[in-house]
Amino acid sequence: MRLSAFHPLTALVYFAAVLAVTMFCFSPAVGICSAVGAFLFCAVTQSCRQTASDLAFYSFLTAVLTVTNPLFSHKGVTPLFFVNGKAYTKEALFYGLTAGLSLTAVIMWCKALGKVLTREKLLYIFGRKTPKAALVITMTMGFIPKLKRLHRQLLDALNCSGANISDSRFDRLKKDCTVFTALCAGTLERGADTAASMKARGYGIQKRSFAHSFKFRAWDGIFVATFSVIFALVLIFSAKGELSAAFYPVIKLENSVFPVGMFALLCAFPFILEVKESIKWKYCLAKM
Amino acid sequence: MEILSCENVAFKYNESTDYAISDCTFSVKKGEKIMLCGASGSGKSTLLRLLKRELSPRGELSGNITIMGKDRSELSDRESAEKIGFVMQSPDSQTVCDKVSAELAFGLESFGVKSGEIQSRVGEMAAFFGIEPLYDRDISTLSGGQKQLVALCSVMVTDPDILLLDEPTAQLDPVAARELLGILDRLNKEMGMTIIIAEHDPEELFDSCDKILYLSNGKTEFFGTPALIAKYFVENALEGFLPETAKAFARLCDDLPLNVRQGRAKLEKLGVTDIPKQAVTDTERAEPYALQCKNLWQRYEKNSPDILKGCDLGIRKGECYGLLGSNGGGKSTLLRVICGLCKPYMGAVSLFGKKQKAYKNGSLFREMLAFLPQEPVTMFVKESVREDLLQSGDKVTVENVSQRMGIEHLLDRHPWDLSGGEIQKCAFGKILLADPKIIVLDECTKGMDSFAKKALGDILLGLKDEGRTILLVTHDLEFAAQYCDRCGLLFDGKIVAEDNAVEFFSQNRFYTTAAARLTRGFFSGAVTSTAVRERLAMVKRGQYEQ
Repeated sequence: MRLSAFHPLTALVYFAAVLAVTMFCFSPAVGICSAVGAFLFCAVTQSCRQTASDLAFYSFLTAVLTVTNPLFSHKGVTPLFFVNGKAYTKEALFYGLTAGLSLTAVIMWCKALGKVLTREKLLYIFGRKTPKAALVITMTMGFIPKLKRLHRQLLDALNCSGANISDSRFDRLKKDCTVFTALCAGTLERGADTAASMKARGYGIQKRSFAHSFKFRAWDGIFVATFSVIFALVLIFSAKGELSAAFYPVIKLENSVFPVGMFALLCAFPFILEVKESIKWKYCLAKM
Repeated sequence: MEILSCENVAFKYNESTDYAISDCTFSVKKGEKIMLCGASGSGKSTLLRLLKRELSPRGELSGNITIMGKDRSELSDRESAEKIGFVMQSPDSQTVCDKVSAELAFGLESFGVKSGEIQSRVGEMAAFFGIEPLYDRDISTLSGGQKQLVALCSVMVTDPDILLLDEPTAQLDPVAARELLGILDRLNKEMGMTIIIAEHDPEELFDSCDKILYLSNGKTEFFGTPALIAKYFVENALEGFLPETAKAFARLCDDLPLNVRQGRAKLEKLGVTDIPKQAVTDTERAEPYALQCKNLWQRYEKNSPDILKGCDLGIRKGECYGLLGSNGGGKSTLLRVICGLCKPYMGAVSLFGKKQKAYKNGSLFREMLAFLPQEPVTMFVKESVREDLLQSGDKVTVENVSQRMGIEHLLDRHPWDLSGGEIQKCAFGKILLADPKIIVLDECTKGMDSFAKKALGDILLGLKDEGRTILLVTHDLEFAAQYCDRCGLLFDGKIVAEDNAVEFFSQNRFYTTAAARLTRGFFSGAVTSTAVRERLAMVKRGQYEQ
């Protein structure tokens, strides 16, 4: 079973746990585990090209943060060299690296979240209790392409109308304004029809229900329990100070093997599931 | 059993002094399929909307509308919303959500149905309509026909007893329209659904209805079976409402054939056999080319397939050229290339021998070309028609043109308030102000009834007489056969068949007019109902040996 095949709530609990640890435990070990886990998962669910470009971009981002942090922060006791008479310290360099890793990890996890929790699932999680809010979201999303299409039509029609339009900035601005006003008018006009259609189909006569449903299976229970246990353990160890890092004035890392290992396992979870599935699929295919 | 009845219904809009509907009486039995016909503005939409309480226009209503044994106002909110389904003209404005799945569930969600039941009902309906492959798609990526199917399906999931449709095919191409009407026929025959449908094109529907209601100025002029109403139309010189086959035989025989099959049987009985072909004058004129496209290649993205694949097109001065072809065949793309809205990656367009690229800063549209888009209302961006027209010409020319198009009374109205036919005329007026030598029209007959089409055709003939060149992109084969000199079929990105209109339509077997299908094997070269009538009249006068 892939993470995307689980109940949306299971996936939500998972991402919440991973993101919480990544954001609140500021330590290089956590940053590395988290970033690598997220990156591996993204890598197996997208094209090689995309992965390569991701790798290049996020390495660059981390490098920039690492290199620039000592320029602003001059704390620390081990100066490497001096810029404009200020110390460029080893401690600040490592702080920057850790910050870069954490940031990369958070961004990558958000990307992974987007892949697993599609809009339907998010609507299911947040829309079940407030179907009206869910409706507003889905209507807005439906509205944008309609608006784009009307804009294209109006612009084409105006360009073809033979009106005196030069390439001067003022004329172009005037044209854009005209199209924009017409776009608003046209949209309102069509909006009235949409409202009528909603009313005709019973909108507002009673409390709305929500169509999407997902089954919470035994596996979901097992996984949520596992995630929670690991999350709790990591939190406990972190509270005991076994998963912390201090950078200033001297770097002091407190990384016990157990909590770091647990967190690494947690981060690798989606990747392991994904790989397991593809091996299973290949094996099935070989038998077919 | 009677499911719906109207008794002396009259209705007046709030701001109006005239009755939009007056003295309307008819009743519909369970499981019947009823067609509402009448010229635009005759009150078809108003009547349909009065039957659905939520959509009723504001105004003064008198008389009795009884639905499922209760007065309209006694129905509960839920009954009215659930049991009476309504499909509007434009699928774009009636869809609410962004995903097909969400749209289909919308109605049931409104009634608070449990999610498991919603899914089973939606699944069942989607399977019946054959739209399962679309279930996860964004509605904005669907074609017009698919959108309308989704709209119909989303109304059907609430299991209505009566289905009302307000010109559901007006925004569709003929292929999609036929598919939609086919589905409606299945709903009626296989599920006994009561259907009331307002339609402007009688071709597909006329014969398959149980009864037809003819409205004129808001009055029920006639309500009866297709055969009876056909007779009534012929007697009152209203042949425009008849299908092509019936038009061809009107006044020439007693029991009118209503479809091609009946028409061919009639011809068989008359004993008409292979009358020699009339010499067709070659309409390819010796005039110079007004518009010439050479070897056009176009695609939208680097890796997407080619839309135009070496398309050649030559239209001579003073000609009316009909460009036909199915959806996605590249017609719109070709038009966009001709108008310079997108550039081909190979090939060139020239106008009267001058390269299109040589026209700069919109001078192409000021001196040479005019383009009438599919939705003419998009050409109007101001508060009134007059303001918009004054953008393209001075006061005197605006007055002259509006007199010519007969739109003087519309000048101070807001463009969005006009009906389809009216806005079309105003748009024509607007492009004439620029005095174009070449006029390009995209689906200009969409949503028009036969009278509006005739008026438009006359305008086109007038423009042609002035020596203007017309390129008409259309799905309307009857219209093309009637008014075009030459026709071309765009298929797979190039023009694959091109001939004068008569030859073009006589050679095709399926992609041709009803008149050509009717007369195939009997007499050749008759591709419009008018031409068929002439031949039939000749047969009657005994000019041909039989």
